[in-house]
Amino acid sequence: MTRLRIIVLSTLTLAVFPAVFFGQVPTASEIRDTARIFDPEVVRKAIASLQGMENKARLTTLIETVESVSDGSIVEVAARNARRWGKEGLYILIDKDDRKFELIVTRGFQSAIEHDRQLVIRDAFLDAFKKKDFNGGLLKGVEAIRAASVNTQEKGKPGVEAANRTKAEPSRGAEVEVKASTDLVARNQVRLTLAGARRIIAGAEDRAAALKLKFNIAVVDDGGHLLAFERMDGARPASGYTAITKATTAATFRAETGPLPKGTTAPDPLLNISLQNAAAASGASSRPCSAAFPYWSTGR
Amino acid sequence: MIGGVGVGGGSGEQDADVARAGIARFLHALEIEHDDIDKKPGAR
Repeated sequence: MTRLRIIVLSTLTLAVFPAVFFGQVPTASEIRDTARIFDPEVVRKAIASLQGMENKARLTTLIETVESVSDGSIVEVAARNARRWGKEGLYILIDKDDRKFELIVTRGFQSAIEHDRQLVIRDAFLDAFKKKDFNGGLLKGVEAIRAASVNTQEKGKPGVEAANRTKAEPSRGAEVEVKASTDLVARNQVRLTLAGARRIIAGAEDRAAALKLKFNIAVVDDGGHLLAFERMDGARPASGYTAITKATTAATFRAETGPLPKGTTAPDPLLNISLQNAAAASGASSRPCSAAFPYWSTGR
Repeated sequence: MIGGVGVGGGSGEQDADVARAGIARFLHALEIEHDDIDKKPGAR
């Protein structure tokens, strides 16, 4: 028996020893420079840096360049590629011909690399790219990723495991809580967070940039209370109130905003009265329509 | 229903377009298909 134990122990030791002693884990970070915008030596240096980060912070990164994104917007293509990639971390797509850049942070790292840090990473790449210094942009971008990865270490292990655990095997406490729910209160509600609101604003801002227009963007919670607001440089200040009102109206009416239903040829007095009362009661944060303005709220 | 998004500054269609893009980015982060956007009351 003792001999058997020694054999088993030896086998386990051999299996664990290399990983513990050398501290090496296979890395998956890579740079696919299909559009050949970087020097190979710079790519090697950047990959080494990314893989070092991956070992320390478990942040996997894929940077991909293409000549041109032909089948859809870069946002859609990057999202699709990130899903195909199937790893947790950062996915960056660079479109050489159209000079576009998209950064995707997968779910497991979204709490560690929030919107502000994503902007820092993006700017690190783009500031140099705009000067046609692609190699410099790559190295600065990787350095910005490294700085962001420090945050993932500070916050402990990224949320991948926690997210998977919540999805696949809820804790016993959560299970009990669900079973204890009664009709008297609503439990376990999903709430929009500031990070979520910022994500919405980031997406809207990118679209606004593509349209080359300036907008005010407001995000409210389910009670219509302002969570995040952004007035882009050059946007009309007065439209800020419009944006907030629209968001509040959509949230508190529990319906998307838009034109009156098709077939409405005359103003409905009861609808108008109810909407005006709602506006008064909400301190004008809700927006009624008038017959001259055929939108009962101004989502579009 | 978890909130609302409002956009102002462009034409109605442009505002809606920008709001949809914001929600699309958010939904992607939640790994929800973009097709769900128009099915969600109050999402824009």
